Amino acid sequence: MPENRKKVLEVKHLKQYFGVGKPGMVKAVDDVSFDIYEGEVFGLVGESGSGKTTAGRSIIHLYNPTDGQIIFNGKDVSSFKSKQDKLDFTRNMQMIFQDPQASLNPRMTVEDIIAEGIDIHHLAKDKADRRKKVEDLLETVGLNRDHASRYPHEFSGGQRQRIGIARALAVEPSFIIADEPISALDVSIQAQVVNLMKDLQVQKGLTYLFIAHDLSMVKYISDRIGVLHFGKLLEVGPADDVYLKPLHDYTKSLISAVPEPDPEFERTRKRVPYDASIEKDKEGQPRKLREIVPGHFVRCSEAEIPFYKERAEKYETTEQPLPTV
Amino acid sequence: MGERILDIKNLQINFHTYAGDVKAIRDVSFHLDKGETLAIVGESGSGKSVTTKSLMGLLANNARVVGGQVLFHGEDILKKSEKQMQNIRGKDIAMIFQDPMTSLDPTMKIGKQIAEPLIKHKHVEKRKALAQALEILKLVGIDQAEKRMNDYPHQFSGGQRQRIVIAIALVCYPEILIADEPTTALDVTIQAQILDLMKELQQKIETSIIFITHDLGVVAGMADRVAVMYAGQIIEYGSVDEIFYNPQHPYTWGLLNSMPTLSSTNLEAIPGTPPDLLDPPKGDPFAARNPYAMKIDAEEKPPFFKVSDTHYASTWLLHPDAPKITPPDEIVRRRKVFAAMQASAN
Amino acid sequence: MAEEKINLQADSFEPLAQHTEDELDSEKIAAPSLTFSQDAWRRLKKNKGAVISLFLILIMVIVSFGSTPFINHAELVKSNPEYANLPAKIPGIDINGLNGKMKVSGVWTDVYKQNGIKDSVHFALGTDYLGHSLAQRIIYGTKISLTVAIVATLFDLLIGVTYGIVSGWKGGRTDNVMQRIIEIISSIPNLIIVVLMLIIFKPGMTSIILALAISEWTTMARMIRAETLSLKTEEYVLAARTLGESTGKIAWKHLVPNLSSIIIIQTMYTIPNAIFFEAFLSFIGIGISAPQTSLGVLLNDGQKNFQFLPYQMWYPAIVLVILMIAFNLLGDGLRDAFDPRTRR
Repeated sequence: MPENRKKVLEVKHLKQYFGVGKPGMVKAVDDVSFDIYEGEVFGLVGESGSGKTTAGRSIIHLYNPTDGQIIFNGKDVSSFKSKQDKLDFTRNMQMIFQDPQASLNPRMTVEDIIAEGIDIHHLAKDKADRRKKVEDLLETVGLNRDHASRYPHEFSGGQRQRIGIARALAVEPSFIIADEPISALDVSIQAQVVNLMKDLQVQKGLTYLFIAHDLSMVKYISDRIGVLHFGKLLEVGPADDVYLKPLHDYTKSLISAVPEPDPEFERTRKRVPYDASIEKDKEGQPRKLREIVPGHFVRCSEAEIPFYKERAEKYETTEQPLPTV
Repeated sequence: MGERILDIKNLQINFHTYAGDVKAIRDVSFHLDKGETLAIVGESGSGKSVTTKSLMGLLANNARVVGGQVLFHGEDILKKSEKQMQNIRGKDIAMIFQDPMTSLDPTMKIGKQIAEPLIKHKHVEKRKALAQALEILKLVGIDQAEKRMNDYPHQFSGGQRQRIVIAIALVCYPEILIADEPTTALDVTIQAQILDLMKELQQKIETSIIFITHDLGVVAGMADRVAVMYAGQIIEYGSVDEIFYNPQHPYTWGLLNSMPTLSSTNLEAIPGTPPDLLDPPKGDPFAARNPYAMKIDAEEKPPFFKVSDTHYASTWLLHPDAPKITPPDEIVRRRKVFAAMQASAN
Repeated sequence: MAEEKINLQADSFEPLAQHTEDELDSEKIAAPSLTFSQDAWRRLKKNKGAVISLFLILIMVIVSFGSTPFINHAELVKSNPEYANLPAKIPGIDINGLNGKMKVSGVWTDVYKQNGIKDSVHFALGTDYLGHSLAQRIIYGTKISLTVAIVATLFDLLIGVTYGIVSGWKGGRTDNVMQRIIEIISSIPNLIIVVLMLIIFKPGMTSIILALAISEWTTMARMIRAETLSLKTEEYVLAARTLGESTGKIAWKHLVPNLSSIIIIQTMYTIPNAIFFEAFLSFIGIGISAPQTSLGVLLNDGQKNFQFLPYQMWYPAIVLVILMIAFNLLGDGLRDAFDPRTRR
C-alpha cells in the first residue's frame, strides 16, 4: 500500500438514502469508505442497483450526502459555502457521463458544449482563443478540428463520448469521475475510449474514479478495485489481486460470469453461483472492511477473518488455473 | 449440420434520408442450417440489425430492398405480403429484442402474453394454450411458475423479464430464433444465466439461432459459426474456432485485439470510426482504419478468399501476390492455439 | 470470384503509406451539418397543410396589422345610413351575390341601384346595418382578435414558462405548493373571472386579456414543469452543474432551448383558444361590444340579420374558422416537425 502517497479523495462513511422518512426509503449507498491516491485509477465495480452511480454523484456533490464526509485535497466538500470555493471545486473535479446520447445538449454545437467550462471559469482571453482551445481539445481526443461547428446527433456513440471527455478536460481538472463511460458503447469502441483515458491520465497526471459494471475493462484500467453490492463495499484491493485472487464470494461469482473471447475457455467455464443472503449481518457480529492481506480488504465480521485468511493463503500455495489457451 | 433452412443472397438495403440514400446493407450473403447457432458480430451501424429485420419483414418505412433474396425453405420472404409475413412471424421465425421491458405489454398478465402466439398461430384453445404457456415458463426457469402466470411484467426483475421474452418467442417452437443483442442491457451475471438458458433450450426445442451482438466475448460460448459485419458487408465468416483462433481480416484482428482477456495487459483499440454509409468508401471500407492497408484497398473492394471449406475472408492480404505480414501479437498467440488444435485433431 | 476483372497494378500491394486527410478520413461525417431548427423546418416543409396554414396566418397578420394607416377606428364608427345593408359588389365580377345583387323575396335585385348609390361606390364584402364597410370591419376586427391573442400568449409565455421551470427545477415542497396554486386557479371557470372583472373594469379588451392572463397560463406551466422534471436529470444538465454553471444560466442555456418545441407548440394552441374565447365573450355581449370591432362583435351583429342578410355573419365566420383551423394545423405540423421520434 503506497502509504507515502498523497490522498486526493477520502470517502468516509458515505451514506446516500433516498426518500428518507417515507416507507419506500432506498439505501442507495450505505456506509461506504475508501481513499483514492494521487495519480491512481480506482475502479468501482457493481451491478445495476449497487449504488455505484449514486456514489459517484454524491462525491461530486450532485447529491447532498445523507451522512458521511467527502474530503477532497484535504478539505471537506460539504464545507464549501462561498461561490469561489465551489467554483474551485468544480474546476478540480470533473465527471464523464454514461450515456453519450444524453450527456450532450442536442441544441448546442460541439464548440459551445466543450467551451461551457471555459466560459464559466473564464479561461479564454477572447473568441479566437476560445475557438483555438476547443480545436486543441478536439484534437486531443482524436476528433477533427472542423467538427466544432457540428451538432451532437451527427456523431457516433464513441465520438460523442470523446466530446464528453473533451468537455471535462476543458477546465483542466486533476480528478475525474468516469461514470460508466464505456457501458453504452460497442466493445470495439470501448477500448478506444479506455485507451484515450489511460493516455490522458499519463499525459496530464490525472486521478480517476472509474465506475463500471464490466470487471474485465475495470481490471485493465484500474490500479485498485472496489466491489460494490447493494450499496455496500464488499472487497477492496489491488486490481490484479481482486481479479485473480478474489476473496469475497460475490466477487468470485462476478468474475466467473465475465465472457471471454475464447471458445475453448468458454466450453469449459464453470460459473460460480452466489447467494446474496450471506451478506445479512449476524447479531452482534458487525461487518466492516477488514484487511486480510496487506492492501486487500474484505467486508466481514471479526469471526470471519480466519476464513478469508485461509482463502487468501490457498491462492499462494496452490497454482491458480489461469486459462492458458 | 442439418438441412439449409435460410439462405440470404446478395441482399442490398438502402435507407432514404434527406441527405441521400444510406447504403445500410451492401451485398450480404449468408445461410443458416438446421440446429446451428450463427453469430453476426458487428459495431452499431454495421447493418447487423437491419439484416435480421429484413428477415422478419420489420424494416422501417424509409428502407428499400434494392436487391437480393431471402430464401426461407426456398421461398423468397421479401416477396411475401404483410399478411403472409404475420403468419411466419412468431410461428416460424421468432425474435428476442435487447430491452425486455419494452418488448412486454405492461398491462397484460404474462401467462396470457405467453399463450397468445399459440392461440393466434396454432389455434390452440385457450385453456390448453395456458397449460403450454405454464410448461414453457417452467422451462425458462421461473420459480413458482403457476403463481407467477398471473403477474404483470413490472413484478419481475430484468433477467426474469428476458426469460419471459424468450418463453414467448419459443412457445410456438419456431424454426429460427433471432436474438438481437438479447443480453446487452443485462448485468454480467444475469447475462451468463440467459446465455446458458438459450443454449439449453436450443437443445430441447431444436431451433436454429441467429445471434446478433457487438460483443465477441458473448459469441465465443454460444456460436457454431460466426459472421463478422463491417460497414454493411460481411467481411469474414467461418466456424467459431476459425474466427477466434485463425482470423484473417484485419478488422477481426482489431476486434479481438480490443477485448480485454484474463491475461492481457495491453489493449489495441481500432482507431477512428466506421465509415459513413451515406457515402461509403470505394474499395475496402476498413482501409481508413487499417494499419495493414495497401494501395489496392483504397481502389478495389476485395473478393472473398477461401481459407478453408467453411472459412472465407474478404481482404487483399489473402491474395497470393500480397506481401506476407505479421499480425498483432495477440493474433499470433491465437494462431498458435489453432495450430495446436489442428495438430491434435489429426 | 470477380478477381479476373480487377486490374492489378505493379504497386497494388504496396502499403498505403499516408492516410490523406480528406480521402481516407476515418472520422469523416458525410451528411451536411444541420442545426436543429433547420432540421425542423425541413420536416415542416413536407407537411403541406402546415405550410399552407403558415401562409394563411402570415397573410392575415400582415393584412390586419398592415391596414393600420388605412383603416382608423374613428372613421369606422361613423355611421353612413345611406349605405346600410349593402351586399358585396366587386367591380368586374358578375356572379350573383358578389355583383351588388341580392335575393329579395326570391328575385335577384340590384340593391345598389335600388338605393340610388353612385356607380363608383362599391363594397367588396358589403356593408353592415350602419353602412360600415364589412371588409374594413373584418380586417380591423381580426387585428383586435389577434392582438388579444398575442397579448394573452405573451402572458402565457412569461408566467407559464417561468412558473413551470421554477416549479419543476425546485421540486419537493416548492413544487408541491406551486402545483396546488395552479389547481386552484384552473378550478375557477374563465367565465366567472370575466364576470367578476366586469365589476371593476368596463367590458372590453382589458378585462378579456386580464382574464386570459390569470387563467390561461396554467396549461403551459404544467407542461413546462413536467418536461423540466425530466430534463433536469438529463446528463448534460448534470454536466453543466458539475462544471459550476449557475442555475439561471442552466435554465437559459439548457432548459429553454430544449423546451422550445413544447413552448412553440403550446403557443400554437393558446392563440386560437384566446381568439375563440374573445369571440365567444363578445358574441354573448360581455366582451368587446359595438361600436368597437372584433370578430366576435361582427358575429354578434351578423346573427341579428342572419335570416335576411346572411353574408353579414358568413364573412366574419369564415375568417374566424380559417384562423382557428390554420393555427391548429400549424400546431400539429410543428409538433411533428419537432418530435425527434418522427425524424427521418
